Amino acid sequence: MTGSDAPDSPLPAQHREGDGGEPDLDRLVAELEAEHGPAGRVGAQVRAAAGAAYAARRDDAVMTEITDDSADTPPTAVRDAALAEAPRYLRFDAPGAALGLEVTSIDDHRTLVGSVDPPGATTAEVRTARGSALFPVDEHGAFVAAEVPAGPVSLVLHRPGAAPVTTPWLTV
Amino acid sequence: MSLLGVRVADQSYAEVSTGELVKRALCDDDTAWEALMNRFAARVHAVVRSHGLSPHDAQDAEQTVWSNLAEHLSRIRTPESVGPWLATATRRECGRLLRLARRAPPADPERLHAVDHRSPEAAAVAAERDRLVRRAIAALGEPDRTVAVLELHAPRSPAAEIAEFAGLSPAEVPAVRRRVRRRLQRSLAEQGYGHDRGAGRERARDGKAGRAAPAEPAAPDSSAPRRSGTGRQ
Repeated sequence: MTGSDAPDSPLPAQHREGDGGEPDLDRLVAELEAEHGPAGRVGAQVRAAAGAAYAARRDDAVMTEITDDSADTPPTAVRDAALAEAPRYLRFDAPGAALGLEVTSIDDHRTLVGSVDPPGATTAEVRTARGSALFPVDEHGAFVAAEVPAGPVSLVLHRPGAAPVTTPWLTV
Repeated sequence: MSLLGVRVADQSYAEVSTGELVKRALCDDDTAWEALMNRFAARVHAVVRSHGLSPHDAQDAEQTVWSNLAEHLSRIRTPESVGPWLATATRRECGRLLRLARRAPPADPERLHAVDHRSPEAAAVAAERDRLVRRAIAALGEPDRTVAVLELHAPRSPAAEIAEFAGLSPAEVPAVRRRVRRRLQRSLAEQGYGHDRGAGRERARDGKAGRAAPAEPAAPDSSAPRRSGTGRQ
């Protein structure tokens, strides 16, 4: 902790509770506040989406974590523009279950192509801010969910005789 | 299970600890869930804003973070640590959206963002300032970065709120705040923020328009509305 060392601001500092001696900072804060207004409450649309997710939450499900996301590791030798049309690939892992997901963008909609490993899940539930939709999973563990609205999404894989597997919410 | 066999309808949740709110929200207490969101709204919002996402992406980020909190209520090991959990989750989702925005295809005109009424100069100056601020914040490690974001985008947050979000004890907050303010100030000065703005202020004092943008005869702000950005909506 370096909180008590000598003030290194070039201007005379009078420290009362971390205030003073930082004129540019104060000006910046005032400018940002004038531009954006004070950070307030959650907007109605966000609140509605969060409320839907709260109502649809599955406390009993096995939670996966994102172990791979092509958005996090863009190929270095490719220009960004060349990636625009390329699908996004995600991998979710949990003990005893894994899910590969390919996300393709078509305007405001996404097509999700999933592959569950090991197979056994019978239904993939796609949860969005606007509600859920169910898609059949074939015997090889593959499913396709088309016309998924862009925005927050979470998947629940329903397995006969076992707890469902769920993914974190993420924006697609 | 709780001591609350009876729920008092208009009970104030302001006094209830974060951990207790989580427990109640897990028992399908909508009011507790709302209270949890209200408690952290400004802080989550500050982190989102600090990333400079498009309005649409910013909204997606917030929706995703709160949805994730709902899903993780039963999985957060220490319910009292929802604050740092939210700070991390928000930062991560915003980072992801920033990377995705870089590869977003050009949007249809009807899905562009709302009309930007600023003059091109004002918009450019603000964008340059925001880049500079993000660089200054990015140069910090945690918990300083979270404290810096709150300092800029949720100024005058009580020490207890800063502590709960940044994973500090309230006693540590004043020292971290001082350190963060000094570093931000130094970083801003080094990058020339003070210079431009200083000039702008001089002009303002002379009674002219106070922005650092070059003074220009009646910029056609409103007569020529522009659309900006390539995002959705």
